[in-house]
Amino acid sequence: MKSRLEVNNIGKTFYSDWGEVEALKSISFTSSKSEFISIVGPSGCGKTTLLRIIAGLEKPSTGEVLIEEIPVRGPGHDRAVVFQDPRLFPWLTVEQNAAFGIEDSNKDEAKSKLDNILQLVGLENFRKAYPYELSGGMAQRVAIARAFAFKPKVLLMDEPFSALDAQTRSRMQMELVDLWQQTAKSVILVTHDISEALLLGQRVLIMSSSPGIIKETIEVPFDYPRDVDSLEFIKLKKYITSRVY
Amino acid sequence: MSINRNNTSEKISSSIKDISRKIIRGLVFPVIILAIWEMAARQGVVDPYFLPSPSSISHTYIDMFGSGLLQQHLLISLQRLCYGFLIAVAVAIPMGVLVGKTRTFRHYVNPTLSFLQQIPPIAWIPIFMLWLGIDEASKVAVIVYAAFFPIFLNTVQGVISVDPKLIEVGRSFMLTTGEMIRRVYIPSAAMTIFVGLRLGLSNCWRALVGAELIAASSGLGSLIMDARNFSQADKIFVGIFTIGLAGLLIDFLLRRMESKLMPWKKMYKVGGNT
Repeated sequence: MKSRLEVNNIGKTFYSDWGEVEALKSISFTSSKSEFISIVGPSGCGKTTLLRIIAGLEKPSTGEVLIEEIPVRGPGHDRAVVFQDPRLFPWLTVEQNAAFGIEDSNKDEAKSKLDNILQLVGLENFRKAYPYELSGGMAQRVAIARAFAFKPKVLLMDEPFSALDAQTRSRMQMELVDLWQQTAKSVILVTHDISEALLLGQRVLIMSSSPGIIKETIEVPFDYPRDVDSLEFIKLKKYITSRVY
Repeated sequence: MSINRNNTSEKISSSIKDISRKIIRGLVFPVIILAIWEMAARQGVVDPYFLPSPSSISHTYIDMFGSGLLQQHLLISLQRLCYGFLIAVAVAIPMGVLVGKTRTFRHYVNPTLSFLQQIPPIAWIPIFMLWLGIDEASKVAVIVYAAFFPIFLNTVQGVISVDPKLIEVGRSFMLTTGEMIRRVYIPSAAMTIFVGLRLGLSNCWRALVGAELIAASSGLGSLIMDARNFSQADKIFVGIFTIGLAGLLIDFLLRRMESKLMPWKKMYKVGGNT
């Protein structure tokens, strides 16, 4: 079976005035289908760097990333990133922001797809609003819509919900699972929140720092929607927590 | 859930009230000055040869307006302003984007530009006349020079301060260099560029009048010089006031254009208006 995403022996060393820092060391994993992978680890373990390398925004020092067997040389149509902050363009309306990555947003086909996505993230009534009129949660949903509208095969998310309040966060986590199940994308979610990683991911990669390596991979045995209060969930969460710290 | 726009009309009426209050406050000072001036003139405190009364100036104003003389000079000045300003915009904005985007290029041109910036536009008039003759070209050249620096420098500043995070979004969506400039850099820098446009416009309005005072047979500046030659103080004042009023009007129009073109700008005004 053709693998959708292959991360081969990725290493990254940063050079600065006070010496070298090995941020990532021999990171390897593959994903063959529309999988949801969570990556957790303590801050500074290089999980964001790993995501940026997969996105093509940063070059690895060693190794390579393959998307459907094609090596990553930079950003591409097969991937889209949702950053930690929404990063909307203040001069564009909600729908213009969401359509930012679409080549020709005037075509009827593209328009109906955009409608669809705005509906999925619950922003169809806000299409003409500007980012300054939105709450933090709404803005982040626009950023997610923008990434989905781009129709990537792999969606890369860097702590997309960390700036949100608890209620909005849990609503958006459920929305994300819905979106993912409807669109058959691969999702890689970087987070420092262990219950988030376990709530969303089919697989959880646990990283440790200096140098950043994958310490352990956990196959999550639960179906969606997951019950965070179940004994098995809590037990697994405790285990992962003990491995992270 | 939808954004609450119900109180918009309320907001508009209160903002009209705000604006009219501001206009009234702004007029207090000029009205007091004019009243004192008029009284002084009527009491014979000042010699009308040097300082004619506001009422006699307004009579001259109406006369000159009625004969079409004022409009004729004003139009010529505005025409020069338009040509010069548009040329300056066409040169300064692309150059500003280029210089702002490329750091090495900045190192090459900065010292030269800083040097040129120190020279007032009027100082160039004699040499421009020598090169371009006494016709329109030399005046337009002065205007271009005067408008160039504010527009250019603000464009550079605007482009330098584009949020690198937004540039990264552009990169992740695979924008080409041209798209990046058009869709990220220019709109990002638009507000700063507009400040440059306003500064540039008022700069070149002043430089234009300066140029016309020194060497022109038409335009508001030359109107003032002609009046001086005939010792017509009232006409000089008509010229001066027209220059000020036209400048105000131009700036007002540019500001209107700014808020029409950039509706998102409101967010920067959250702290209250001035």
